[in-house]
Amino acid sequence: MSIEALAEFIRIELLDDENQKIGPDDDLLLSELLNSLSVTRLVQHIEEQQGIIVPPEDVTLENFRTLNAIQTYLQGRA
Amino acid sequence: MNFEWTPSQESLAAGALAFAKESLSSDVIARDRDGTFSFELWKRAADFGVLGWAIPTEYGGAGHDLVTTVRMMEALGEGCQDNGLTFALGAQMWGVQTALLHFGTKEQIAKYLPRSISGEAVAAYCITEESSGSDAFHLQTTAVRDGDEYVLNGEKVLITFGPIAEFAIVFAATDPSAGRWGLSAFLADAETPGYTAHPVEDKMGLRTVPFGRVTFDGCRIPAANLLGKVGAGASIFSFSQGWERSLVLAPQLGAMARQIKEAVAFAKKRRRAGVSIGKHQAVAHPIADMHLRLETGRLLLYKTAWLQDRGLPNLMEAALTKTYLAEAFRESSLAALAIRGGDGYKTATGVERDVRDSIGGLIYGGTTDIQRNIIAGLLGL
Repeated sequence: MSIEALAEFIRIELLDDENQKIGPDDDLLLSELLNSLSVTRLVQHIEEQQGIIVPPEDVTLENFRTLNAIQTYLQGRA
Repeated sequence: MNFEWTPSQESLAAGALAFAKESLSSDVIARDRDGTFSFELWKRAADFGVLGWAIPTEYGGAGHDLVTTVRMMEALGEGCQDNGLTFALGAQMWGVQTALLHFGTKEQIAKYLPRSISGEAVAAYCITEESSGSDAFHLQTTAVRDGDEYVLNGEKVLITFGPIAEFAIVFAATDPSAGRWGLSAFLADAETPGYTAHPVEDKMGLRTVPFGRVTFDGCRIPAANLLGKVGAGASIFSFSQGWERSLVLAPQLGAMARQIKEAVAFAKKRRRAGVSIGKHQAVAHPIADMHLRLETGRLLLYKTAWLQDRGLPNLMEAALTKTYLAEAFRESSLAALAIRGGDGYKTATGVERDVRDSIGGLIYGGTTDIQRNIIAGLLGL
């Protein structure tokens, strides 16, 4: 799942703001760009797209703080 | 789509109903008045298997699917007039046991789960704090690593079973600078120095289950008592909260079924101007509405449990179920009171107790306002 695809989902579906710029290392969590419901929806989207289950204990700052971190986590699950 | 129950499910539900009527309602008026928890009834329910219904067989449970389990919980709620007891059973199953089963190590599960299933130990789920109700992740309680231990400091409030729990699942900040992403979950034994269970606090309803404060003052617990990963506390809470939100109000459906039977019986027996009052639309229509709420609630609950059984997303359904069931029980309880009039106002009928008990469902497990936030958010608002 590409970083751009993740960014697009966040922009369009979660933030409803197609002009929102999200860089690969921008903080999604501590910046509160994503609230808890948005994170849950993002995880569900990733599960559907990738055909995987993301265990709740994997939804941490380390794995979901940035788009790069998410991609690294998903590559580790491949 | 198949709306039929299997003969096995029917039999299990009938058994639960008969058991609850026979064994779970004694002295409820006195215990409600005095705010007394009955460990004897708790143990009876555990001996009947309630606390292991949804636990896989390899862990000593019955391994029932969730649709079957909520049907049995509903039957339990119909037969048992003690709404506090059935609420407490659900809170233990969906809050404590779910978190333990899904995130515990083999050692943690082996130590804590059997005593929970057998009813020998009750456990507390400690997240709520004075300054964090609906903003559940804004915690002040901290857990600082010190060698092979964590040191807990903080105060938890409105904790179900807080005053008498043998152990607790405790949410605390391991990295306060990271907000919700710096929370972790722990298992803490009540006998640990620095763990203080405070006296039972009086409350409006659900008075037969004890609520109260738990404080941690330099409470040192083994690092091995970390539940799940460091920093995964919020995710663990959200997961177990999802289960609780989905399933905890199942007994209230049974209580609503009981209310309808009692209201119909009263409306048939009570006569005015030569006919039973049930022939008057002012009485009949509210009872029809009670039945509508019951059947609508059942559809929501069973669908939510069905999705949960299959591991399918049910965030929306769970929020709808929690909201609807909580408000439906309040509305049906008030309707039952209005139909019974002065009779329902008397403590002995249990009707006024249902009204008081119904309010808790609007608050615990995420208020109905929070559920509506979730529903609206999922609709893209």
